[in-house]
Amino acid sequence: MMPSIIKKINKINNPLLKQRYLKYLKLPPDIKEIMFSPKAAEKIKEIGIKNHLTPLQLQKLSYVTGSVLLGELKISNFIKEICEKCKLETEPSKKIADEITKEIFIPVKESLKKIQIQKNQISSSIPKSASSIPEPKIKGNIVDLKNH
Amino acid sequence: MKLFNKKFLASFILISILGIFVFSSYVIGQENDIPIPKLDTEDTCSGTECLFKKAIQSVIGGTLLAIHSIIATGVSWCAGLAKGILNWQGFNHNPMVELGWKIVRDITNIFFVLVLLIIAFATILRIETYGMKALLPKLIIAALLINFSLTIAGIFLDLAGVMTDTFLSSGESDLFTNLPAAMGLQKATIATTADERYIWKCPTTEFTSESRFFCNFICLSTGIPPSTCAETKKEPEIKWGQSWDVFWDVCKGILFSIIFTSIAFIAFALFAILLLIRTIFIWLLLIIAPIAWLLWILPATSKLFQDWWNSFLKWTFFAPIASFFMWLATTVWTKMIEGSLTVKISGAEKAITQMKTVITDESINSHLLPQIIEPSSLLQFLLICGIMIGGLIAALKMGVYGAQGVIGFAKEIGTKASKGAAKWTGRRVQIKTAPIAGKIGQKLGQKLKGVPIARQAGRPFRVIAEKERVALSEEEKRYSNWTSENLKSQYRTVNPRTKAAIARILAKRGDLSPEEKYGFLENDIEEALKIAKKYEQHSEIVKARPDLVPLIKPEKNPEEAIKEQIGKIRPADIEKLQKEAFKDKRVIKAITEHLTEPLGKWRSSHLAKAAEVNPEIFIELKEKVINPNKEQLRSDIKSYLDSYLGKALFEEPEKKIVSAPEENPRERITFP
Repeated sequence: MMPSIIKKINKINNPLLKQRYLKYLKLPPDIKEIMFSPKAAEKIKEIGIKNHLTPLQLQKLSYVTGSVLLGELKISNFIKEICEKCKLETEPSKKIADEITKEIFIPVKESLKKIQIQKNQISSSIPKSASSIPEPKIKGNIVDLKNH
Repeated sequence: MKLFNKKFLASFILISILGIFVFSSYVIGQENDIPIPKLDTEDTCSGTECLFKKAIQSVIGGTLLAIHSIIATGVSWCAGLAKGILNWQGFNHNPMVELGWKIVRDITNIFFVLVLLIIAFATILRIETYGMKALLPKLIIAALLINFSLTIAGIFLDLAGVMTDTFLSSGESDLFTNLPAAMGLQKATIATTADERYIWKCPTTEFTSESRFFCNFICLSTGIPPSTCAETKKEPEIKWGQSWDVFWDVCKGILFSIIFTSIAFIAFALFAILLLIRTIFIWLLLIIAPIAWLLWILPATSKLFQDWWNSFLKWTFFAPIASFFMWLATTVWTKMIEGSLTVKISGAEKAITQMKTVITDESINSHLLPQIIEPSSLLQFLLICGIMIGGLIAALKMGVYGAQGVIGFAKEIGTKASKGAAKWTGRRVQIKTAPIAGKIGQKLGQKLKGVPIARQAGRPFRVIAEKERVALSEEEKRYSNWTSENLKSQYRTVNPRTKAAIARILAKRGDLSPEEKYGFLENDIEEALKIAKKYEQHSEIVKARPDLVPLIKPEKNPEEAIKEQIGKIRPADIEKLQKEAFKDKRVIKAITEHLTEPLGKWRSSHLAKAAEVNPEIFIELKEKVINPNKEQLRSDIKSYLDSYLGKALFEEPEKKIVSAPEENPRERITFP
């Protein structure tokens, strides 16, 4: 990690942004590469156009996808989050999620698994009292990375 | 015979006296510089109205003349004070300064042990900036010079003293001593004593008094008729004018004179006060001079040493600079009132004639009051006053800039002195001349490229320049392992070539930002860019700071030069770009144009790289370029910003689409 980048990140005033950037710097190189890649952005755009998404929905879709890559969002909640953020029904959300998985997640699946495991470990390490809030039950929206 | 002789002698004396009177009045008449047109100035009015008019005119006119007199005395007093302070030159021989300096020097010598300890620990801990290599030569020089600090300061003070004396005693006489007289203020002051004055005499007792009432009272008390006093003598009476118009003209003249004399008074008072402050400051600075030399050794405190020199030189050279401006203003003023400068006094004839009844001929001939009425000379007086006040401000400012220049020059010499004078001279010549030699070689090569043998004339010059460039890259290699912090703190202590090398290293690292705590400031970056330009090695620096391009391309339009430079930035260079460049609106404008114009040179890859490696710049781009110009962005840029995955870093988690108002509320999309 270049010390000058650390120096620049330390100069960021917004604490949330600073924290996320530090998290981004710790990401595996392949994931780091696609985070700001114009090619990845192009793929997302193509998926959006294919599924008739509005620009706003497209923006939300890229945000949700980025959150998964950053480890901010569990991959198991990906479809649910697409439904919520993009205001879509489950079926089209599932379709979009499948396409994103194929185009974005699969090429970096090993690294993504590590991030998601870490995310799960962090979630499970939270005391029960705090994690006792029931997880929303989503049927049929778990992305099976193994079988892809 | 004796009687004849006596009569003859008496007649001769009488004729002679008469002759002298007649001749002298003729001569005086001839010497009058200004032809006074004959106007009827006799006051012929009578009655209560006339008395009332006279009373008002006397009160107003008298007050104005009194004010003028007070201010003119003030100018004289302040000029005398300034002169007195300026004449006192022995700053460094003052007993208080000598005693104070000796005590401070002895105390400072103790601290050298402490500095040696710091150097020892820094050498053990391998802190380069405080190590033996960097600080020991400075310590030795400081230890020596500390004992001469008073003498060194004395040289500058003597130099300033000599320069000040040049203006103080320029011309045929001492300017400041004769200043009020030269400026015509004294003449006006003397003239104002020509007050209305009556003397009354009692015929029986020979008693005289200025008060008629008192004289009559004394005369009546004797009881011997005639018991009333008679007017015996009348001093020049102030006749303020028959008409109000003429009276106001005279008042106008005096009022203007008051205004300008007041400004002159303020200027001289300020001058005297500043000279007094200067004296106190210089005393204090001389006393603490040994401490200043001690502070020079350590990088963390060397700025204080520089501050000491700044203050010292600023106040030392304030005196000659301010004296010059005061001399200039008063000389022009004097020349104006002496009539050396051509000034038309056409419109003021009436007033001058009337003034003759108010003030003496001498004052009229001093030209101060008549000149002031003339609109064109009014402007000149205004300019002179501007020079007086502005000169003092300029002297303070020039002192600061002059001090910085002298310090910069001395610092370079000091750095080199510690490395060996002979070696320095050779290298210095090489460093200074190499970039020029390169340019000469290049130009010769271009001019003579058609001439077979002559085209080789530029070769030796190009070789020198090439050698120098190699030396620069060697310097870069030498310093490449240093941390940015160390490079920044060392910057001011190295030679110009190393400065350019340091700036290039920092620019390549994307760390060319000013940091005050290391003494690396904005003007250091500008200086490094100018040096690097001499070696034609400035490209890395301008990639980091495109806003500084106008400094090295003064022939170009600054906006165009910046836009051109921004256009040259490749995505890989974004890492080097510094936040400070965004303080310049021209940079923001240029980037906006490159992101909005169809032929703009910035692509989505520029933004991607910025977000990836230079978050500071990406945030600046979002805030200052992208957000204010969302609608104008090119479609490829818009498309990238809509769908890049890194958005997850920038958007707030609470911003939920559910709660966010939608511009176009769409039905939930269902697919077949």
